[in-house]
Amino acid sequence: MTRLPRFGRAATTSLASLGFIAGLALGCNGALGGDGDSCTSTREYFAAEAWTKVMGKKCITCHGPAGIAEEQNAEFRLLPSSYPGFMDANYEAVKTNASISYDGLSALLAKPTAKTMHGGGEVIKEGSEEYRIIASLLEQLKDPVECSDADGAQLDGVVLSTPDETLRKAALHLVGRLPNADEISEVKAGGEDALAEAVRGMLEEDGFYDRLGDIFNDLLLTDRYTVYTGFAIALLNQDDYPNAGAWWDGVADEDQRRRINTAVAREPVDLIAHVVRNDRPFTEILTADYTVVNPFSAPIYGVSPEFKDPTDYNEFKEVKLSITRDGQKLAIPHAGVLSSPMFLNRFPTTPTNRNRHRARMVYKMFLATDILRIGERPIDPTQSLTYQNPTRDDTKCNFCHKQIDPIAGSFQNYNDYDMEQLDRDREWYPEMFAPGFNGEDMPKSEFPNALPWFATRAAQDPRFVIASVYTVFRGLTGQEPLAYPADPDDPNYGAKLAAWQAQDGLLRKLGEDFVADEYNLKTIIEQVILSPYYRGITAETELSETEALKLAAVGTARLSTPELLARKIEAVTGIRWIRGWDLAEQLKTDYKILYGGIDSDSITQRLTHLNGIMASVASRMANEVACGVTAFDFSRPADQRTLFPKVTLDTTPLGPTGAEIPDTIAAIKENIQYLHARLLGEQLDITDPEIERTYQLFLETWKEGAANVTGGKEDAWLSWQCQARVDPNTQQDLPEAQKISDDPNYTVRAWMAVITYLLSDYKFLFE
Amino acid sequence: MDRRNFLKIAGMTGLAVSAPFGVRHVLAQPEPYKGPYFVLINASGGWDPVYLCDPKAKGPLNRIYDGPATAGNLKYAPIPIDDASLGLEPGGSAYLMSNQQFFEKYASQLTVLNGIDMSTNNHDGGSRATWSGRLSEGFPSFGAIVAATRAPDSSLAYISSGGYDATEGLIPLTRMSSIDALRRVAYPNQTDPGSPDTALFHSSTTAARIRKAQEDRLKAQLAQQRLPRVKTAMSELTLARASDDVLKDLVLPADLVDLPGYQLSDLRDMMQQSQLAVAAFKAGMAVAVNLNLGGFDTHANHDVDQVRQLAKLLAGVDFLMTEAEKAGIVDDLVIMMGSDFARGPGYNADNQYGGKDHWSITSAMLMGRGIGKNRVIGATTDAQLALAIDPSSLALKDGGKVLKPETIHLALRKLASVADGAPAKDFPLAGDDMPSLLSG
Repeated sequence: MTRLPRFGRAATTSLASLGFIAGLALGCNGALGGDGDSCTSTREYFAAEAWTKVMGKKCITCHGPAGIAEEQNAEFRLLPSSYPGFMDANYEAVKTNASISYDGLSALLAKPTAKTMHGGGEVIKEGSEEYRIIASLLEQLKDPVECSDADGAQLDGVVLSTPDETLRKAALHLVGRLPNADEISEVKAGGEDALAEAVRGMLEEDGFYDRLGDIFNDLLLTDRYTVYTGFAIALLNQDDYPNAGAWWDGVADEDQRRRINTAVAREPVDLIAHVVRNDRPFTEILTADYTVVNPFSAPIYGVSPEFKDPTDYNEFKEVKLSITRDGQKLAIPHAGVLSSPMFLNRFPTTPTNRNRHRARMVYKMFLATDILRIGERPIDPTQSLTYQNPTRDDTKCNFCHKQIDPIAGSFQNYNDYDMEQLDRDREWYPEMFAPGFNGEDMPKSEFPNALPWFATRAAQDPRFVIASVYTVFRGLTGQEPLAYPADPDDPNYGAKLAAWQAQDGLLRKLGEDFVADEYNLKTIIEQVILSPYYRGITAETELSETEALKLAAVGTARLSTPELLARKIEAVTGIRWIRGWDLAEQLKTDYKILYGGIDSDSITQRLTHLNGIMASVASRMANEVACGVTAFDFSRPADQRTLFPKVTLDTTPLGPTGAEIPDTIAAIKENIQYLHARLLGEQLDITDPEIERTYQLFLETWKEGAANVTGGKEDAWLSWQCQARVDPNTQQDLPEAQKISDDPNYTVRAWMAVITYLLSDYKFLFE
Repeated sequence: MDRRNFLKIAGMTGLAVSAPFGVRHVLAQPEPYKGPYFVLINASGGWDPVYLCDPKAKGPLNRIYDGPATAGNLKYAPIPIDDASLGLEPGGSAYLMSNQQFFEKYASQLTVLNGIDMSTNNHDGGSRATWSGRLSEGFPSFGAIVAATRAPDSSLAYISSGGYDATEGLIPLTRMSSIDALRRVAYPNQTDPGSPDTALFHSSTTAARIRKAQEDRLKAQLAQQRLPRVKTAMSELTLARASDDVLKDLVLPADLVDLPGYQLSDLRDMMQQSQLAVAAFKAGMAVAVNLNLGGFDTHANHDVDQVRQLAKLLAGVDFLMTEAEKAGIVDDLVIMMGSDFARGPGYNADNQYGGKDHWSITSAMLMGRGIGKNRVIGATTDAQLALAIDPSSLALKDGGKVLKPETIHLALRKLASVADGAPAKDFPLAGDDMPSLLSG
């Protein structure tokens, strides 16, 4: 397939120049391109016509999973849209079937027209519209049309953020800081290529791995075990991990205990970070025959790798764990995160559940498959009473169980009552579908090594690629990948299909690039950052309803999570929004749930839409941070200030007579311009109406307040909380000479109003 | 673009929560909501009606009690509870409520629906069907429908602490926790809302000036914006700010209830959420609240774990009613209790640790404003299969209709007077019309 260079590498910011629409006119053989201004690939034709109008409606009825065709062992199988990658799989199935012919007529037409034996009889009439579509597809398949860009990535009309705007957004999101001067100048000079390089550079920073940890904890939810110190340790079997007993009890230092517990709780997330940080194939998150420990978790597991700095929490070493049974060392059969004690506890089993819950979660997290959705169908309870073993014998049940049970059998070496305890001598249940994966039975000789056997195969499954792409896409854009539009009769079906195709085209391309780059997750991260789903800021023109539907999922409008907002506050203001008594981040403690975050326990879904309480949390944040930072920033020398480098507390817009002072007004506006850039990333001309709006807020607040102070209606003293008395990040007293406790000119409070205004702005709260 | 089209577009990706400027007819602070208030209580994991409101004779389905007991017209499973039988620390069972206590106290207010065919025994689908009325994906919960219809301009009208709470873009979802934090956000301009001498961050005129500037800027930003996803997000912010003042009327309890020990922590959480729900109703802020209690997926140790969780659930409902009564809103509550599906029809093992697996024929219980009293509709056979009823008389009838989630939700929508609203029409249900199913 002809492809343009990777999108996001051109020097401008229109999608056309980035290859999103230029590809439409390239690489097309012209046979199907209509007027020649566009290109419809054969795969697109299959998706929009053959699948939508014929196969997804008629053929799927019998040729879908658990359909009559499958029961009768027909080779032609189709997957419904609930299966990840269903369109690719179906396209391949159709291509294969098309090559089989009966008396010169392809099976794709001979079978459904009953020209040859067909279990379903005649389902398409010769000469019908359906017949014409299949015939047209067959004609195209002789010489398939391939377009030069990812199928469907036709998002023309979307305006992207510029490279330096994207740089700022990526830096705040990925590493919790503003871009540095070098990055800015390089991106300004080098455009899209330099942006990609800069993003890649950020993926080497420690800060990125905090963010990556958040993304994967949303999946694994193992932070549940950080809720109180000792939670994770208590899960470990003390016979297998003796140091989880007496040794742990002997650790007196509370901070040390907290770090140990956190390190153990986060072991699977840290393993993922280790794989990504070291550019290992991401498949190792399932296949690694090791785990990682840091100086804090190593003693718990009874291992002692050599650490360069035994106090460095972020120094991770690969180790192979073993336990002692009957005096013999027994190696843990590592299988990446799947064999992690925390994973096994977080997704537990029972003697009757038999690891099916784990299997379901493995499907969901690592194979992009919602097995419950796939299995969703009305059931008749009277039927299951007729089977002795319905999960195996009743087609309504075994449809799912033959997918679930083999993977459940992969966890057979773990105890049903003590989740992480290795129990290699147990017998697996013969009445269940045998352990295995994708139709391959696990040899009995592999049972002692069941989980690594499965993990190796799962990591090579195409759905693992899809799951990896989806996880990153979800984490960075805050939205679910679009579902395939279910209803072809929906009047908006065409537009919805176009939206799905555009996104699916991109996600498939990300998957291809991921595999080509030896499963390096950084490739997906970089490309999602550069995509219109992360960078789209508006459209070039007003959109019709159809156009709006096509672009419904595009755009940079993600509400920041509590964690992202906390990092952003610190990055742009220089202070953290913390509780004074323990210096903990407010958005990670008191306000985490109110602001839509998760506790990884009972609340595991983030709120992605702002409600009234969240708006009030944002208001309180803006007020408290403005209060904490304004006087404090003025207490420092001008060249060390974060927010007010261009003004002093004596910089007032009017003189004593009420006359304007042009120089000070200019300085105030320059500082406002600076604040818009620093806090919101807006590069505004000094005459921009938004500068004037902010100036008017400052001016009116100052005028009223100064008059009130002069008239004795308002105090010259700042409220206790808003005085510059302590360093807001440490709560340590400032030197006396640096302290600011009053505000006779009312400039602190006028600037506080400006800071509150900007910190509660749409552009601050949303990405 | 009108509201309907806007919602269509944004709803495509689950983005919409509100219409943009010029479409929403009210951008000022919404009027306080005066009821009725809907509480949707989810027994997460799949409860066992045989041990609650659809009792059976002792046998393969029931190995705990001798046979059904009666309270009014209702039959229930008379299972005694004590610390030992529920595996609780000493004194723990005193915080729970037995079936007998519950039904004797509330039978006169209840409508029990037995023999509901969920057509599924998968958790996600069952939960979805119980609370939205439809098995397949893409439908909002009843809480979202009723909140979006009765208080469309409030961004606080639907509060959830779990269970199926998909909104499909009709209205934002709200979570509540931590009284101290709620107090602080209720008064974002007070430096210390707990102190009578609290200072303000900004004078009241400055605060109003900031707010005006925010509104003007957001209008300008929205006017320049063309991508629906971004417009939707801006509209969310506008709407959320418009309703944030409602929090001032939130009268929070001095302290949230506490229960001893880890074993009761789930009940404690449910009770605390009940306290916050009542406060939100009382403040005119909320229309619908989801409450959730987990632990019902008892594939093993059913006789202990299922019975304990049911006793917690009933204690939680009783606590909610008590709190609502104290707040003077108990007569305005509409409560529905339901679960993913049922369990059974028998045990999966003969020993004492045996469990019951998923079973698609289940029950629901409702009470409150407009709900018929002291009634049982529908039934199951001794094998826990659904029996059909006559749609008009609601009496058992061969060849009649089996209760389905969509039928219940059609009736629920009518009871709540939201059936003809735009949200309900955008998400139509195809159930059987049973006009007196809930109201009697």
